[in-house]
Amino acid sequence: MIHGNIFAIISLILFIVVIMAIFDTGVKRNIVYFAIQSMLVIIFGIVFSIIHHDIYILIASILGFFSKVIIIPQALFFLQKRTKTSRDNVKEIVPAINLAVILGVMVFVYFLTKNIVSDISNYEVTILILGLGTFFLGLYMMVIKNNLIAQITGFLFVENSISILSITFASKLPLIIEIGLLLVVLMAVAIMMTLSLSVNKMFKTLDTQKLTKLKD
Amino acid sequence: MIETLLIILIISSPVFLLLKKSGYIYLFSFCIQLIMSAITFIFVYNFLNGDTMLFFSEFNAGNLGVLMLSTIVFVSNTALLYSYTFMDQEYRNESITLKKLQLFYILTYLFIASMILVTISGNLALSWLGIELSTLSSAFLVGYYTKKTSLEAAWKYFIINTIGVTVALLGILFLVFATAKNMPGETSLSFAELLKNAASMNPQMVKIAFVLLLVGFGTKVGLVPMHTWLPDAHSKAVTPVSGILSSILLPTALLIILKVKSIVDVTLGSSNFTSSLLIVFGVMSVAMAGFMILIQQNYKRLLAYSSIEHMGIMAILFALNTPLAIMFACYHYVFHALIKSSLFFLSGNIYMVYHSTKIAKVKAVLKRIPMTGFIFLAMAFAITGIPPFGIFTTKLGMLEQIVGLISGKAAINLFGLSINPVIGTIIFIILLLSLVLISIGFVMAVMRLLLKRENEHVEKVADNFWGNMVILVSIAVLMLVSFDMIPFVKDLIMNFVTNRI
Repeated sequence: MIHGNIFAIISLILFIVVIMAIFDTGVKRNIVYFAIQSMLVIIFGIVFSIIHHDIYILIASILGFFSKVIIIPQALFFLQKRTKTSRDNVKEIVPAINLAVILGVMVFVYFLTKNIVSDISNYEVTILILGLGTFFLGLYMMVIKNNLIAQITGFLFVENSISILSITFASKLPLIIEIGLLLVVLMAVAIMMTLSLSVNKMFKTLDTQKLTKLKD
Repeated sequence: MIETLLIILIISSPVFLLLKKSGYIYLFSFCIQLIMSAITFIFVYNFLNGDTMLFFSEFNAGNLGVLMLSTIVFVSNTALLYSYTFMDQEYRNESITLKKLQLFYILTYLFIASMILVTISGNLALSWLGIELSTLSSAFLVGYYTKKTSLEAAWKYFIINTIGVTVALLGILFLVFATAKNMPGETSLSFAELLKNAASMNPQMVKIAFVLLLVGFGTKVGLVPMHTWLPDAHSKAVTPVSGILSSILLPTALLIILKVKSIVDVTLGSSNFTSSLLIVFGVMSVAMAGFMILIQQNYKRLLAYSSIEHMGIMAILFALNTPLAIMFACYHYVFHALIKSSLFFLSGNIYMVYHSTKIAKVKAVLKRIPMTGFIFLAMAFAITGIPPFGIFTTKLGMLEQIVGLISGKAAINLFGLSINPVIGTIIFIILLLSLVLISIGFVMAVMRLLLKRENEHVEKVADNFWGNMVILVSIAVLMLVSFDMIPFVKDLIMNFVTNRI
């Protein structure tokens, strides 16, 4: 039961980190939030694997540490330095709207979970609610942020929520799928970075509001 | 056996980096094409004789999968043959460098491999991986020309599809969650295992999983409202890839939705839930395409919106779930793949002469490049469903099946769909109006493109003869399929209609 509470607390911190990232317009700080969140996911995975004697999750967590805590944040810092981007230009989204969306997402996820879950423990319900909340808020972040690096960070928050949900509820997945997922994320980030560099070279900015050449 | 093809495509693609002359690149690509065709031919032949020849248990192609595999290989072959003239002109005009030419073939072969992986996969996770790999490999093909517009299209394409595929991944997790309690040991995501355990899954969980998977993979299919990436990506991608994207990639993602649908239908004991959702997305796609085609000013975007329409029609036909509707859906898939790829290649011919995709800047195609003009006109009639082309039959069939379901006259299979007469009538009217609008809008746009509008002197210029020959081969195959003269296509479709596997 104690470890159940630990998992629930880690999920809550993950959720709070996304909320902080939504309100924060600093691009560099968004990357730091992602690194912190990833570290928490790794700790979650390692503790879970030890308690449940699951070697697959342990291997995936160790690989995740190198990719999500070291390689990807470093690569994003490189991109941020190279493109000299410091702030995200989000003017039109007022904090009140953000708060309303966050509350809306929580209510939606709560009722969604309440209707479908019957035979799982309390801490699993908490993780499910917070994991889904993190997922939808990560998507929301991708939509409202105008900076390409902030959008990539939003995608990575979504991916972290998937990791935590898959560790808790789909721990019996084959190892090859867990590793495949990590590789796909690495490749996706590499492609997003390459595209961002090309966009910066062509448009002299990473602001997506400037990408408006295509019209019907 | 077919796994060998995947390995060959993946291993051979980096070899293009070693080839330092354009001629060698085309020659090597042609050799891979021959191998790809031979392996697929042997595989399909053996499949129809009851030998699946699959080495790994995670691969398990059904009849629809094999039909899609054959179509993917055929359309890819025509796209590659067409690329030898199109890309060569781009290379000779110095629009692209040798490095770019190498990159084109590397990414195109990886892209083809990812689609083949989806069609032969018997595992949901592997299918998901195939779709994600298709996005990863094709992103640079969309932003190939590194212009402002193509980069914008590439970013949109990549980010929206990545979100879609991530949503689909959440759907897979829900499906695992719904299954895990019933499966001892490692959770298998093989479609066969999932189908076996479908009856004991948690229905609420399965419903949510299906919605997430439909939205996620529906993004890749281009169903409205998740379609926003599609017109940009299809109009900005390098022409042979536009053909592949539009004609064979979109239905490949639909294949996964259909496989999941069959599992969910067993859990829920009815297809009402899944089919209703597919019909809603399908009708929205057809209606929205009808409106956008009417106001279109760019001929490549026109073709892209037409693809959204056809994906909507396929979604509706598969959702109707009657044997005839399924048969029409399969034929519609083949017709659309052959016609749409030809139209994109023809648009490439027009681009080679006019260097613009704006309809206003293209005049008198019939006079300047008559062969391209005439084929474009014929294919435009074919894609809009004007008789006697096959798409007329499938569109008419769709409307007939809706009427049949409303009046209770259509033959219904296991897990058949029941439609409320009022809602059914509304759907019928929306579809009929949209299809009429699409035909008018499309033909009008094509006429503006082809006919001479001013009294100025128009000179005939050199057409892409070899490119047109490739398109004519595609049209010949279309005619053969229309008259049921390719036995294996008919066999695969009939097997799928009968067994739904």
